[in-house]
Amino acid sequence: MSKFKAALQSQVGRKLITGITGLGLVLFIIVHLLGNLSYFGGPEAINTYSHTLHELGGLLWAARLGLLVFFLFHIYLGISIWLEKRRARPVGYESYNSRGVPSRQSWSARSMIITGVILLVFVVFHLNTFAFHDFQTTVINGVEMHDVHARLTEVFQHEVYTISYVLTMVLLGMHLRHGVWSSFQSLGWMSRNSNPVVYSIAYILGLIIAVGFIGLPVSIYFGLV
Amino acid sequence: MSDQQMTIHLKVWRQKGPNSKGELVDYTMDDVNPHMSFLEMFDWLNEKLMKQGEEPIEFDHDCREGICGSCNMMINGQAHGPQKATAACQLHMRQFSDGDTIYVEPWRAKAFPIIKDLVVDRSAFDRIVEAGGYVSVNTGGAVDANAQLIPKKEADIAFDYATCIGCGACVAACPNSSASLFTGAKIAQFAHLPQGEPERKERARAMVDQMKEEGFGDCSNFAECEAVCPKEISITAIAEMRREYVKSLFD
Amino acid sequence: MAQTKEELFDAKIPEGPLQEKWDNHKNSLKLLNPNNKKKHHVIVVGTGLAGASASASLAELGYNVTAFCIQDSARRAHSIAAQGGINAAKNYQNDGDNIWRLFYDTIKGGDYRSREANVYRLAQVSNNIIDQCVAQGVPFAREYGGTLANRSFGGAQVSRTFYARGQTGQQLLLGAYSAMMRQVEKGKIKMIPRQEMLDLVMVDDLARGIITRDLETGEIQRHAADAVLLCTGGYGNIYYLSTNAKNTNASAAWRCHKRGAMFSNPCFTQIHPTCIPVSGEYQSKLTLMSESLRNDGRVWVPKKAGDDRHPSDIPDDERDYYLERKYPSFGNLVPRDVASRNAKYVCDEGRGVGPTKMAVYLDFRDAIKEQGLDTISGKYGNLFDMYEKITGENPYEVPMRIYPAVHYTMGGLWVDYNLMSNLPGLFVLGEANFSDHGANRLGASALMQGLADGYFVIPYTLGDYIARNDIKPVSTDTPEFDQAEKEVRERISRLLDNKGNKTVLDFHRELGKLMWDYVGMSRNKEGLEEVIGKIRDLREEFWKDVYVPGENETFNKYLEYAYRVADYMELGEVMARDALDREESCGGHFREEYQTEDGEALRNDEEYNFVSCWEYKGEGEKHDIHREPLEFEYVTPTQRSYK
Repeated sequence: MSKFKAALQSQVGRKLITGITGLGLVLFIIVHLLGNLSYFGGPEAINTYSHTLHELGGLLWAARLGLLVFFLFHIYLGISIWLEKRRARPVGYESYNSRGVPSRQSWSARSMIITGVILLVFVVFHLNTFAFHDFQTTVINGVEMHDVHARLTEVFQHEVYTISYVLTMVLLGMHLRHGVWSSFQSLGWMSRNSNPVVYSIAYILGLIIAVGFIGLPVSIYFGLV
Repeated sequence: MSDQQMTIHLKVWRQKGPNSKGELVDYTMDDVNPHMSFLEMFDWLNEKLMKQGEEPIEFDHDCREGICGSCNMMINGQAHGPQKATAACQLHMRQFSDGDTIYVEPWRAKAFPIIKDLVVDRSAFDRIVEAGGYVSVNTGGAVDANAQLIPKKEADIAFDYATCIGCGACVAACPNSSASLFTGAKIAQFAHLPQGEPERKERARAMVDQMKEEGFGDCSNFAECEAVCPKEISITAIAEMRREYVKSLFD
Repeated sequence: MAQTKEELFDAKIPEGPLQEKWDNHKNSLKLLNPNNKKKHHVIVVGTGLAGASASASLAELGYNVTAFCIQDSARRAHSIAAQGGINAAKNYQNDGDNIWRLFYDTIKGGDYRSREANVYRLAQVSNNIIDQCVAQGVPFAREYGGTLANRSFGGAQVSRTFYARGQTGQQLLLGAYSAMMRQVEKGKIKMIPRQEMLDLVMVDDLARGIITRDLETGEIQRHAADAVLLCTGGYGNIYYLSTNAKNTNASAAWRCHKRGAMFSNPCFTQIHPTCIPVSGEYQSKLTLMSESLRNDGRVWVPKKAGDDRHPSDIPDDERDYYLERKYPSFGNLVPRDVASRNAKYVCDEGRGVGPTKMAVYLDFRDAIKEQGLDTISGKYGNLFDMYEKITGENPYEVPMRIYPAVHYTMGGLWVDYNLMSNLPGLFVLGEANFSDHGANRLGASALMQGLADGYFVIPYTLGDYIARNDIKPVSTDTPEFDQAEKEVRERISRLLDNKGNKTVLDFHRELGKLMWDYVGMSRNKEGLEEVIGKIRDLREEFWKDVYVPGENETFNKYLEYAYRVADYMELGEVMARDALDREESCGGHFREEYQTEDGEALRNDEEYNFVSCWEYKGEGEKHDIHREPLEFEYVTPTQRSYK
């Protein structure tokens, strides 16, 4: 067992866990996005979706717990890798430039720690705004449930919230652009041929997720729905 | 191509010893021939410095044909300078323009302490190899070389990884100072050869652990290492290293 | 002629038929039991193919090894730069190769100036080398069926060269280096990089230790052992411009020589015909282009001296394809020395090309026309790229410019069949010794010899020496160590305190030019007599006027450079003397007075069928020459012809 413990602390293990937790979080984000998109189906759709989720009870709590564990590990390792990197080069260069392709040192790659920390702060506010909020209730098909639709509509009337939400989602897209590809590489799934393909897919996925999340608040703010 | 002499402004890191404080010092060379190699420009500069009674700049170099891996200069913020697949010793001044200012700094990493000026200590790489970068076969114990057939494809892949010259550009260019490409290349070479099979698990674990022990950073998949590698070793080596490592956990 | 000291130069060639000598010898060698081996300590200087393979093999046997190299890592020794390949008599191609043929080709290629027994052993163990390297995971080129690939190299009529693209030296060295690092991990080898041997210490007439300088801190250290193995390569850098790595040097060997080791055949140097020419005064070294290029490239110069036209503006009837003209049957594929010499002749006539006029064209125009661009690029793409990187010219469009450059030195310290010098306990391996290549080395044989010495000869012969002589440990606290250290320190201080006006590079360049002009591709009596005086004058000037910056107690590359060049100043004279003494032409040694009507090297087997052995007689004194006669029992020396 100590072998596995040591492995988790090794440089391979750390990235492996970062990658697995990252991909887990991406799955969550995709589900979350699909949930969000149900807003466009009207109050009934999104409220029912939310209600069904809550009805899962224990299962939901297990998922939440899992998500929390993934999240904490991901944050811990991300920060730790960043600290390690600072320790590994105590004196930096006066001049530093990337050589360009095949380097993947994009702006998103270099700012993982920044986008990561902003996302973390965002999540705290986000939970406060939605998850821990005292929702109004509504009755759909005779069932009383939280009126998520109303809350969303209310929140995204505020410009400060909308703008910061949109900006954060841009950062999320960037984080995923490097993160998704990087996870596959960290898991050792890359080969010479798959490398550029997965890199492009990650780019597109980051873009879709960012655009997907931005769509809702923008639509609400400008009264498009 | 022009044979016109060029003026080049250099900002070179000078540091007296391992514990001294260093700084960038400005030098101007007004008679740089475009056909000079980058290191020949340094030879030339050193001759001038000595004739003025100043201390020459120390830098590591040996074969000057891109294979020994001795030379190590961060040129304008890029390991070995701007030319693809080229070590500093094979970089020629025709890659630069008249009037350019060029920054020249040593490899920077905690695991590569500076000895003097541009010279660093790369013995950490030797210790990574020492941890497992070999096949345990004594002299005289070998069977006939053709007794074991190796598919050409596998041999070619192994060769691609084996071309590493151990210069350390991967570490120098990596924002995290990771040695994963160096370590991965050796692990991946043996992973593609039957000779490497008996020890593959121990090798992967020992070499990866040593990398950390030496104080290199984690790999964040920037792939800058592949871009600067004079032998263009692919970061697939790092993916292979990770696979080997994970496999090594399950006996 | 001075008297031959027969007793000194007993090569200890074993009895019996040629084919059985090595086996007989192994049977008669004394063995050390494994427990005793653990009590013995060996110093290995240099970690190229010979040094690394010897260190690893001896450590595996149980000896305690301390290995030194001047580079920052053992992996950077200059063996790494060998491109072409390594020969072995495997006969995997079923083309009639065998040990005898490899032996015969090597001894003939060496123009009959090497020992039959040594060369035969080299051919015998060549096969084991390939097995050993493959077992270490060296990724040699392979066929689709998974077997090892071979190519024909350097004009050989069989395909016996094993290779790993153009980086065979690198792959073999990394194999030996990794075997060595395995023993470092086990604690059997203590590896000390950035450390330079500056003297040999003899105690009771046995080689018992060395004095070194730590190249990082300048610390002068003493190291004692039961035997010293010198694996420090050749001395081609004496010419200033050569294909050797900048830091390769003759100092360790030269210091041993000054302690009494004989220097053999110093004038045998190999000049490689296809190197990228010098582009200007700032040039620091030359780069070799594989000789395979001559398979398809045509060598020419303009017929008219001083023709400055662009090569493509020179019509065919105004070009002189001089190799094809002079050697109709071999054409552009004449041996290295012939090709080199002819390039020199046309340049001396003023028909050289390029900015310095010291180059000839190697033209692929016709090959591209006949075989197509793709075929040529498939064969030579990487070489063309390398050429373009260095010169900035595209050889697909403009003919390459090439010129010969010093590449390898066949001479070196004298050794017997056991690889031991005339100083008991001092063994010399690889390019540093004189033993196997005679007057000319064949392509792909340097790697073979380095590894043969280290993997398969020294492990046997060293044990015999230690067992027979009952070597007991020695302390470094003896008058001999005191004296050697004192001399090393004095020499360094003398260099540093000199504060003259000329840099080491100035002197090295001057010495190199003298060597190249007078002791280079072609030599004559008058020139050699003249250059000996010139070298002496330059040496005197060196010690008066050299400027060495900085101090000893720091990393100081120009100080290292200074003591290496100081040694070249002495070695150069002995090379010239040797060339003067050898009144014949053979292999890499071409005396203008001794040539056939066709301009070929003319050997004199009656009088010069020997190994010259130069003895140091003291500072400023003339060297003495001794001669080890060569006997040819199994092959009959013949005259080469390439017409």
